[in-house]
Amino acid sequence: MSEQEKIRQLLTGYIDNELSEANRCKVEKMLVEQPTLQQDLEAEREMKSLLKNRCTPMKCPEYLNMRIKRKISREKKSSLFEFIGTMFEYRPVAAAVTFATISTLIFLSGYQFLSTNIDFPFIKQRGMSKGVIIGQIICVDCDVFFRTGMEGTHNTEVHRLGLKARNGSVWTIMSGNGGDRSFTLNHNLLEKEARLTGYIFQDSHYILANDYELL
Amino acid sequence: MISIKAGKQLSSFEEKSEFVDLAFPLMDALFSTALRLTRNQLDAEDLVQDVYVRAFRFFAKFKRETNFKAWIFKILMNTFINQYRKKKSEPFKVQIDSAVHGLRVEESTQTFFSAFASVAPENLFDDEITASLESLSDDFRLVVLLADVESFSYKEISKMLNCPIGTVMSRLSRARKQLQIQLQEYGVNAGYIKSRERD
Repeated sequence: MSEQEKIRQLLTGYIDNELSEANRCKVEKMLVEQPTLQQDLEAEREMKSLLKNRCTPMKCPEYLNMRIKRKISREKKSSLFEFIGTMFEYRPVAAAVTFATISTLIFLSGYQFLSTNIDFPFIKQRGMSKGVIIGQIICVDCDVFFRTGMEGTHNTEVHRLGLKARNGSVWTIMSGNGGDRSFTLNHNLLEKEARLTGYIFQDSHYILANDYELL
Repeated sequence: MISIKAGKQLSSFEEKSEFVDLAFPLMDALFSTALRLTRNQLDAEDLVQDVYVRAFRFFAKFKRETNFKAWIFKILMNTFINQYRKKKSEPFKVQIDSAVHGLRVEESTQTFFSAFASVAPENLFDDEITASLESLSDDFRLVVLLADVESFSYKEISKMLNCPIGTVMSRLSRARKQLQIQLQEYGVNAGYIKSRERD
């Protein structure tokens, strides 16, 4: 760097009030000793002032303003995708491990869920819980006739099995074993004590039996 | 300087409204700088949009006790340097050393600040200043815009551009000198300044 250029840089710093005290004194001394430097100083000051005054901010177009506002308002919604994208971009191993872990968990959860053989239309029913009921296997239709004293009959070849719990409550049995209805139509089970395991729908008094054990 | 209190936990909604309050008043300044950097309206619009989106994404990292304007301008500079400058071919560069050193001191400065005094300044210069700015290399134009137009300190500029303060001062000095020379040439050509040859 030439001496002239060093001086010019010092003048620039002096104009912008960015010099250390020592350099400021140095410049002021040079300005006294070299009158032509004063002209350089004024010229550069003029240039700075000119740029400041003439390069005024231009108005940003209104449509750009609106576009940016829209973009930002949408930004939060896509932040999850952005985060995932960022992860894949910068931490591919961590992202792959996370992805594999989440996929495995989802698979295992789904597998465990499906292995219960629940009939899907009932899944959303309120008040469902898994449990065990012990009681006597009865025909719910016959029980209705018996309880109410109604006269009449139902098709006795198709008894609908239910369970009369020890507290007297009656539960209609549905087959939970993949829709195998042989259990619910097995008349040989009538009047027998059994322990039923499955999903209990408390609101509708149904039990989706996955397993039973005769006592 | 725009700054806000530190140590404040903000909800997402508060953060968004705070960002809008801080960033949107600076849109004209950012757009002007973007336009002067890219020299193209469409690129400038895209650049400003990118800057706002990035600033919003990383707003949580903004230190509340610091200057927001400097922070968002740093994002502007980084985005411009990393994305837009790569797309463009390098602008015409003047060999500043030879151009400046080839000019005698008294010739380069004696008339500059007085030559245009007789001409109403509002009728002059805008196009010439724009053209002169555009002819600067990106490095020079960046420091001129940040220091002279946006009035950032050398320290702030050095942080924005990731370069030493000495480099900022050097670039600024050379850029101003180059602008002086170009505007002086314009003055001579337009007849506002009498050149030595014409004398």
